[in-house]
Amino acid sequence: MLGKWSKTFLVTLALIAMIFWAINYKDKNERIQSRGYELFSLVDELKEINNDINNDILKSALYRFYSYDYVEQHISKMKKQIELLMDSDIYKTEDYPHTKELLKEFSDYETDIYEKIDIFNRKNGKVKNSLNFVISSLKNIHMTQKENQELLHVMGRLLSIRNSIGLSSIQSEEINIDFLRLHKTDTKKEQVYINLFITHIELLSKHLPIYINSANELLNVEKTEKLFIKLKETVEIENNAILNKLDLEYYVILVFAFLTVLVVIYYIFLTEKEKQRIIALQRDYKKSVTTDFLTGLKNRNAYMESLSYYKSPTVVLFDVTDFSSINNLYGIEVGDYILKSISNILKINVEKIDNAEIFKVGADTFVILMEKRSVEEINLISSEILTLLENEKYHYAELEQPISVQMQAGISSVKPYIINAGIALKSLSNDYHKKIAIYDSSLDNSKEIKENIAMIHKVKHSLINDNITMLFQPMIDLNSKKVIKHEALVRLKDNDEYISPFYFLELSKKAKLYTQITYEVINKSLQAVHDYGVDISINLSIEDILHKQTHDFIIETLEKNRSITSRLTFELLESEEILDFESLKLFIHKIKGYGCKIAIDDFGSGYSNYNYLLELEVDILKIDGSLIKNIDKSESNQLVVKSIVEFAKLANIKTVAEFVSSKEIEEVVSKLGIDFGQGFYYSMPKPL
Amino acid sequence: MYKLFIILSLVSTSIYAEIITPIKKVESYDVGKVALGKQLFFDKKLSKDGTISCASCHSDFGSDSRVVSIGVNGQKGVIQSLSVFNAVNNYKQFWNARAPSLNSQMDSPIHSAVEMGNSIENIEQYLKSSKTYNKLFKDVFSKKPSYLLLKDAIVAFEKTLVTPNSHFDRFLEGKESLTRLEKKGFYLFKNYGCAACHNGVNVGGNSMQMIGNVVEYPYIKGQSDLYSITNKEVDKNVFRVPSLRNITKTAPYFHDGSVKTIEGAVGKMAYYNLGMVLEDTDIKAIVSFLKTLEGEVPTTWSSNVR
Repeated sequence: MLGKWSKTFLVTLALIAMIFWAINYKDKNERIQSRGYELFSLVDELKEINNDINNDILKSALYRFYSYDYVEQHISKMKKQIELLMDSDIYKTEDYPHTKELLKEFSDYETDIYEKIDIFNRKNGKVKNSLNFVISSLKNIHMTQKENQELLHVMGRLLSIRNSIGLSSIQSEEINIDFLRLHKTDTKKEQVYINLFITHIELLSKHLPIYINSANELLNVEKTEKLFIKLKETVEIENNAILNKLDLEYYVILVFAFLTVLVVIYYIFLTEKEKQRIIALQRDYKKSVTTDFLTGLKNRNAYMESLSYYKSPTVVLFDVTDFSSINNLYGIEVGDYILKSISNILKINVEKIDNAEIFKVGADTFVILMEKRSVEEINLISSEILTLLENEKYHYAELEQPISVQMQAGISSVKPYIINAGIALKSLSNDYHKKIAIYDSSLDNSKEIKENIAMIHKVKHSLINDNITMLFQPMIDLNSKKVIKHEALVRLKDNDEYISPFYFLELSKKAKLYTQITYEVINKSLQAVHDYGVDISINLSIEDILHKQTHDFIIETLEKNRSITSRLTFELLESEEILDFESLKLFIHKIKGYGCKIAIDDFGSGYSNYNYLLELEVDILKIDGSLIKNIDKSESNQLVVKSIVEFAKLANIKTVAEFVSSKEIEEVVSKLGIDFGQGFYYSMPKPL
Repeated sequence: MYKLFIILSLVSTSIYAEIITPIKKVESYDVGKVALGKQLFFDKKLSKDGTISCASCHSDFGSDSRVVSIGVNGQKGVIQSLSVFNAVNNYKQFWNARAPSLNSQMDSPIHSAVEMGNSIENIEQYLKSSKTYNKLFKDVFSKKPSYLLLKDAIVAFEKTLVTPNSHFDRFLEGKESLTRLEKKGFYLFKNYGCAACHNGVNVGGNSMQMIGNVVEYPYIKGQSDLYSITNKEVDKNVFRVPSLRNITKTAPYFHDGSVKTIEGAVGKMAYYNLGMVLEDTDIKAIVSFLKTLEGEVPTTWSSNVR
């Protein structure tokens, strides 16, 4: 196909060509027509001059005298006129062959005529003069009666010939003038006169018929008349032929113009069609972009667009609870079926609500967008729809039982609507009985997230700048009141502040920084043993132990520091669920090989399982602070602690009371038989 | 009965148009060109031996008073010189009308061995070698001299050589009247039939006629008549009718220069061509009419053009 510009160029070219043709046609047409008129007028002039010449001849013949100048003037005019014709436009083209032929014929005819006129002129004078002489001499000649009669006869004959100009051709005839020759004269002078008279008559009898015939021939206009008529006819025929040819050209141009217009119209149609197609495509595309393929509901893009039309929007976000389980359990087809069914129900019901639209904004989430209304009304709408959705029997063809679908809704009138509605929804996630939550800023954990990010940042920095520091809290022998060891507690040094692991340890696990912190804790605790010659108790999580690299690191470190390993205690959290008990047992066995002791931290807070204390060969039990901190006032706590201590003594396990914050508590725990105490009563955690 | 013929004759006589028309004055002309033409007309160097100019044979009222003119190397011409005056008004040039225009007429005397006897090359060489002509041609034509331009200039000069304001022309124009004798002469001129051939502005010079129309005229072998061109028996002794303008000033008469007086010429012509023997009184009257045809000498001829 040709390009747009080529097409435009061609059409423009065609139009310009047509305009040129049209102008050219008009011009040519006029030129040819005017040539026709010109030729006509030239022929008319020829005719006129020819008439003038004939007129001259006639006058010359009839008048006693007529100046040859006139005929000569007309002849030269005729010559000029013929020259003009021979020089005219028609000789520049091949379009007038017959006209040219006729003009040549006329020109030849005229040349012939000029010669004849010359001859006529030569006879003219002498015939007229002789006739005049003869007539005017009659009075001077004296004749007998008989001679006179004969003379009269001769004269009559001559005059009748003379008068047949313009009538008919005359036969030359012998006129008998013997009577004149025989005439006897009185004087010599008279004899001369008679002789001259005879000469004249003889001349006339010889030349008069020739003269008359020559005049008649010249005056015969029939031939030239015919020629002129034929010439005019021929000019007209030939001129018309050219005009017809030109007209044909004109019609060709007209057809061409028509075709060009058709082509242009065709292209306009084509362009229009193409435009329509593009518009349709755009519409389809927009639909596809703004429509959810599965359900036919408007999608998130559509939601974004619609949002701007709402003055004060409220969003209700519906979520299919645990939709992935449905997919997993029944397969994607069933999941799709459920989504379609939900969509249909939503569609039908949302249509009933004024100023509301339904969108599918996620895989299993739907949004009703509507103008803000009262909380009660929104709650009502939402719960009605939820009830409808949950009560629906989702019968999938191949399944016998209907599938039960649980849904929850989050509502937000605060920007960003869907995210906030999501936050509200999330706040429900642990409670399947609550179905609807309305967003308020307290639900928003975005600030927390920000703080978390800042904290992670701090941890990273601390690891690089060696700001992970250890504080140590002494453990006191309740009998001797002496410090027997220190619990190493990890802190993040932030300027002059020590940040508790409560704020960063969980984050560090998520940020994969935890392992490095563990390494720091172990290295620095061991360093403290080296530096200060004290016993150190180090906190480990089960995770650390099960983590292969950390596990190996601990063993390697212990191997490197065999001299001090007997001064180390590892505290494990009782609250933690032990998944891989065997691995744990193996680890404990290994470190016990280095002389390390094992303590269980926060014992009594969770599932206090005595059995596994025995299995794990635990050396020390650290009784959970929650049992200790009010022990001086709580008898039940004293009972719990007492049972623990009794068991520990039986199992030969030392016990530690944490959170000893006063003299009263110390007294209670001492009395209960706990071996060691730890808490603010003795010392805050502090650098050694 | 005679009366009837006479009436008829009179009627036909009385019907005539203007048989003779006055000469029109030359109102304006290209002075430079005419001056150049005149200079060339009078330049003998245009002839082969530098002895003959156009004017050599056309000086006596544009004609030559000798029976025949003398050309280069003293050679005699073959025919009586026709006047250059009013030649422009003749329908064709030469006694036998062989040249249709003044321009074509000129070739003949220039190249004729017995007249100027020169070639185009020689003439052009002469003109181009002349400072004067170079300048004049440049002034007039803005071109270098050439034979064609020479003819153009001479023709321009010749076209000014007309003799208007004759007594007769002034009579025709109603400004003067003729004497009785002149009137009688004019009447006879018409009535005897002279006017049948001697008519028009040049009183002749507009048709071919045979000398000896009625009574045979002696034929001279080799003469430049129409026969010399056509070789037709009927064209023997056929000449172009000479103009009668200034005829009384341009003796001798006829192609053969056989008559020295105008009276003789009128009588001879009446005899041969009208079949008449004229009375002396008639001849006298006709001659007095012919004298009225004497016009003014052209100013471009008589005085300096510039």
